[in-house]
Amino acid sequence: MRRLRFGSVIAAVAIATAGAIPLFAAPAGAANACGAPGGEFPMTPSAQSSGLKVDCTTNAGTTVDFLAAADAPDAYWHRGTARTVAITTTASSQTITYASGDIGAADIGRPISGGCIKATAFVETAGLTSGTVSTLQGATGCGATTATIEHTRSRVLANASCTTGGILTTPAGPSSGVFAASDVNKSVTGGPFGANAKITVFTNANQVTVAPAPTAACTAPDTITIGQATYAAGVPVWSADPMGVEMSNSATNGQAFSCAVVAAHAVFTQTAAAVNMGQNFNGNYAKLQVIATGTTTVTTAVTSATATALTTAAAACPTGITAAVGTLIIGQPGLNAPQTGNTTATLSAELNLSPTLVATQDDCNKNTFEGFEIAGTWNNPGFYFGGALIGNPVLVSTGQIAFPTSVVSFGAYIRPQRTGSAIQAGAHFEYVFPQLPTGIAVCLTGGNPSNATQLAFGIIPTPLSVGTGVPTGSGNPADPVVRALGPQLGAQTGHYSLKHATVSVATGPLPTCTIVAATTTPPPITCTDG
Amino acid sequence: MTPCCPRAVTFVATCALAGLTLLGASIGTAGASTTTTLPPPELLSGVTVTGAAIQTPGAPDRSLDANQATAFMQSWLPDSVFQKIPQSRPPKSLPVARLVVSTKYQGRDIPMTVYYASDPTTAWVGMPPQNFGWAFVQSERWIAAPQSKRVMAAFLGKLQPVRPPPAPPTTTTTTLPPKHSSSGSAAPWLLLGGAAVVAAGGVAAWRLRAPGRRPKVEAESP
Repeated sequence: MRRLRFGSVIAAVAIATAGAIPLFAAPAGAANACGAPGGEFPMTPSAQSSGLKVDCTTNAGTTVDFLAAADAPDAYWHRGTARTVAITTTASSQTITYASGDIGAADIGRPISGGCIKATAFVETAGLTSGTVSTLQGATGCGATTATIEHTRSRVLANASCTTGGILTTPAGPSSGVFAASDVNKSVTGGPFGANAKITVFTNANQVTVAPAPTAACTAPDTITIGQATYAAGVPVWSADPMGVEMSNSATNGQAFSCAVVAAHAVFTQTAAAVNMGQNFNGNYAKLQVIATGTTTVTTAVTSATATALTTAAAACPTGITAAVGTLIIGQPGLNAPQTGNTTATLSAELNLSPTLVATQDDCNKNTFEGFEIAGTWNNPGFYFGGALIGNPVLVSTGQIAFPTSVVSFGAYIRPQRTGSAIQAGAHFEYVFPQLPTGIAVCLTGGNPSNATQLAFGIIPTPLSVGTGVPTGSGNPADPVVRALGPQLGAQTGHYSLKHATVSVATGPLPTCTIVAATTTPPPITCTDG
Repeated sequence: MTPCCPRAVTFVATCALAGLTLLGASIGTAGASTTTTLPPPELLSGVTVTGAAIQTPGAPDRSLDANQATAFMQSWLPDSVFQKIPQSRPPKSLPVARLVVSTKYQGRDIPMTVYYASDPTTAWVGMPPQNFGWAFVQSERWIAAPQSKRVMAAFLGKLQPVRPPPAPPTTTTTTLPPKHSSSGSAAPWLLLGGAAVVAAGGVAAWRLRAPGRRPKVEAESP
């Protein structure tokens, strides 16, 4: 049996991407399954360079057109959101100005970027038309600009001090850490702090207590990150920060939201299914942009929120929203969100193609493998190639990965599963590929040809090309660019589901990866074939 | 053997043959011979093509049926997915046909727009930006089809779709079973009658050939 006719192409791509794209594993035994050697990488917690590899095999004559890979519970995907505001910055100053009410008290502690605003800046104060940010702005390039405000209090402190007693402080005044009671249970990382350090006591705007306490004092002014993870009872939990999502009503997947006018305002209510996948809304959704589309489109902003409903400034709902039609896009991409078009994933396959349908292929009964690989590019909610009329094939998603071919593109989606799903209990994210193109020309005879189809899905955690430079410490530190591992230790296992149309072909666990505590000795790499 | 015997055997055999002929005619009448066209195969799992409407500048509008439209899509789409085909637009001098291909996906009818142009040797296929549920086109794309001759034939409706092996013929002549009624089918009785005729003929021939067993009719002959 010949191997990888286009192997050189795959190798070239792998080399070009500095090993970020996992290579094919040798074909596994004939069984409809996903499993070894795929896995997650690396095996240390809180790592940003966290690729994912899912390897699958389907028997000859078996067509698979749907894949859902439930990521391990310690894996977090891009999910944050932000809003843009027109502001004016001032050279060598912390002052910003804006239209009345555009930035308010709720924005204090939220990262802000744009124009001459420097890295790690967050909103310190917010008056009616002016406020301050936590860092001095640059000497040049200031003036009117569009700022991005992340809807999170996760932030980077650039001037922190700490003691071995666990007291974390920032200077009073214009460089305050603006601590608040809502910071309790947020993780503290960087400097001398160790694993699972989190804020346990809020004292005042410039002081909190952290436990476990560091073994050494900070080297002031130290750079400390607040809120990469959030804990409850000592265990990392699903973040309550607003999620940037696209909700979609469809006949296949059901209803995610509805719209009704209440007291002259369009109110968008999410269904129980959508709540279970995403999260309860909360007051931090206020001022986020909402784009709702049925047969018409309404672009507006949230004015208030309950757990299930967003009240907006719009006076009317878009027409044409039904249980099976409509999309609702919440929020705008944050600073460190992948840019539209960033390469973030690969789809690779070894399969026996029909020469009738694909020119240059040899006969099916030759039983030779043909290989191909497609690089997928990221689209943020609001920038999907999909649309309201047809609807996206997932109820709630935080990103779309488009796999372009010569003419058409196929889409995969990142689907949050806050309360678990049919294939994996507990909060996790899923990588869903609802319409795999690999079956479009594969030889389908059951016994002859006798070779199986090998599929590999690779996730690149950090895009290789970024549209705009993102200074270190900017944006939402709790929001990975694509995917990152949280602080959970121990065995981590994901699961998969393969389907043909709606019929299950195979389900099961993905390879388990044991995440060990950070150590000065590099751990052996056992969690991937990467 | 008397001269009468061959005549008698011939008579009985003729009767048997006539019975069988009648039987065959009766069965042929009981079942209708029709031409059945198989539905097209799925273009992709869960995606079927139900037809296409073609508008070509300077030519009358026409359409492709489901099989023809499926064959058209099969003639270039798999190539475009699995091969790295460079973008290539047709010469501006060529008329560009617009096909609205009807597809069904997730129970919904979704149109898909495809462009087509050709010269004597090359067929170009393109698509404008659009979303058809199971896939989408991000910007206008054009390729020169690797299997241009197949694409040309398919565009003219002269190509049938490729079906998963073993491929049954796209068009087949079948004999439909007769319609059943409350009184049951006549065919079994006709078959039984035919068999009885054959059997009777055989028995009669045997009796005629047996010594001393001549029919009376022959005894009465002059």
